[in-house]
Amino acid sequence: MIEVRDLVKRYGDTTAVDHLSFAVEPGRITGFLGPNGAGKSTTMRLILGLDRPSSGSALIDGLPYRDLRDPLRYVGALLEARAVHGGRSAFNHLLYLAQTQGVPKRRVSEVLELVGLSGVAKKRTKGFSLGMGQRLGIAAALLGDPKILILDEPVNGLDPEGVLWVRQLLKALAGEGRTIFVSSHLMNEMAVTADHLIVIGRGKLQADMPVGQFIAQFSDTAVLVRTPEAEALRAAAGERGWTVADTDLDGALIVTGSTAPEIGELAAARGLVLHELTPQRASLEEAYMELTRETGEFAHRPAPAWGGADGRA
Amino acid sequence: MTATTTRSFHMDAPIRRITFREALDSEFAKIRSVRSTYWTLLICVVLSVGISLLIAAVTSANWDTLSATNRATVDMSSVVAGVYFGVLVVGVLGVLVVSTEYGTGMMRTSLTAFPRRSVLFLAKAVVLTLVVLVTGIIIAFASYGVASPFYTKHGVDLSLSHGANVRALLAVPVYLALVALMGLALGFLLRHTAAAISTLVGLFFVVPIITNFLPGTLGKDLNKIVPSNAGSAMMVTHAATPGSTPTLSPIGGFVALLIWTALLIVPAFWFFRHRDA
Repeated sequence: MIEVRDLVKRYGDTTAVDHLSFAVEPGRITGFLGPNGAGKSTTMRLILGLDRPSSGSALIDGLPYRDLRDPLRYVGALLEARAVHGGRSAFNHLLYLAQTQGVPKRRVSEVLELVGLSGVAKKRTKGFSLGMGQRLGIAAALLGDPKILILDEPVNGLDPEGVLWVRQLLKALAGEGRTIFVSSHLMNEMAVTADHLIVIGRGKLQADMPVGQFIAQFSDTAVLVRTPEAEALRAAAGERGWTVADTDLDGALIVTGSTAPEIGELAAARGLVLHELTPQRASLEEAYMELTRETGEFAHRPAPAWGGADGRA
Repeated sequence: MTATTTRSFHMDAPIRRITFREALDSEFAKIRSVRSTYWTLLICVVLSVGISLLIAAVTSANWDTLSATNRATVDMSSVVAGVYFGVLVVGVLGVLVVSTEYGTGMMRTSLTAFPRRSVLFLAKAVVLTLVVLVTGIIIAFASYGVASPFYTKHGVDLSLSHGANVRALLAVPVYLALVALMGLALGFLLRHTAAAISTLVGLFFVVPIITNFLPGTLGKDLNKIVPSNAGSAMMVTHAATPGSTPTLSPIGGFVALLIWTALLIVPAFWFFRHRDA
């Protein structure tokens, strides 16, 4: 288990991590979400003892990382994909790590096999793509067969097949009772991967709850409606207290506070023609944007109006 | 590429304390597994031995034109004269051992393996020192092998039955190791290859040029203690000759170089322990 207690990290006048407290429990995938610059990587570095906290503490099963016996057999970490000497082969990179952990040489081949890099094990990592670099980083994290995995943006640079592979791998590892702490700035990816979410913005905790609860709490149900009688539908929906918004799609409306069956029944009762009635699922990303708006390192522009391909499948 | 067999190893294996020995093994594996190490060491050997040979051949060819004073300065330090350039190469190796880890982010990986920073620092220093000492011994005796015949045929006594001559040869690996450690310290302090190498070059090749032209006894004293002159003094066996540039005694040169190394290593160690990685 990872416990962060009232953690603060300041760089000069900037507060990167601002009185952050949370716990990461074993046996599930905990997603660590926040916009770029929210303090995710800094928090992970503090947990790993790479940076010193300005105040507060980050403990791993009750101990600071620096006091762990045999840390790599206890915690596996992926911090950045390119943390490899370009002139060293993938095999040698892992071998040096293995030698620090009393891990047998055959384990190196095993993890290379596991991440699908056996074919390039003897190649110098200089020529690796970003995705191959990520796989090598994940292999390094898994080398000591650790109880706890800390992965910073592991799907960055991976192709869709790689993303799916990481997701399956993390689920399998969590299923074995390990603690999985994985950061991302992509809400949609975390929604399908994580069991639990910790959301931060500007170094502050914004949410700490199961994914299901997050979705229920933060996502409005929204329905896309296309009708030639827009004004009549708008009036009828207004009577029920539903919100109707225009979209940038010609003539389409977004109705929130209701469900597709309710809107369909209302339209039928009023004799209104509907050309389309589609429940939207893009609202989770919106909820996350809403939650972290104003807290990102860079000010967000207002989110674009409803519509587009997102969630219409 | 499926995620079915992650537990082929032993998750519940007993946890044991990492040892300094493992840190050494790991650093040795690292230095051994990059080509730049071999290139750097090869260049160091070829450059040092080659220039020693060149100087010996040229000196020998012009022996008749040398004054008695100049002839008196020919000793074991002439045999290993090429080391003057070799030190810079091992200094670069010292820099690279650290700066490439910062450049790639590898330092963070290393520190997650060895969160006790003193262990990692010491392991790096010990492995680098051992590698450079071995290289230095090779350079010293290879230089002796190829260069000494050019001098002995003119009657210069380079016999290894003299303690002073052996001491001068053994000063070569010591000099090289100390400069490698200075490079290592600069790597830790500056964390950047180009910055650290530039500083090293400045310290060894630019500072002596400046101190050489400083007037008065202060200038002479400063010139004696700059790293390259202090290091060169370690290999000298002949007595000071009147009129030549004053140098430290061999032991004085060793102490001066030791102080230089400490001046860099101590802050490097302190910052490494206290700065964010």
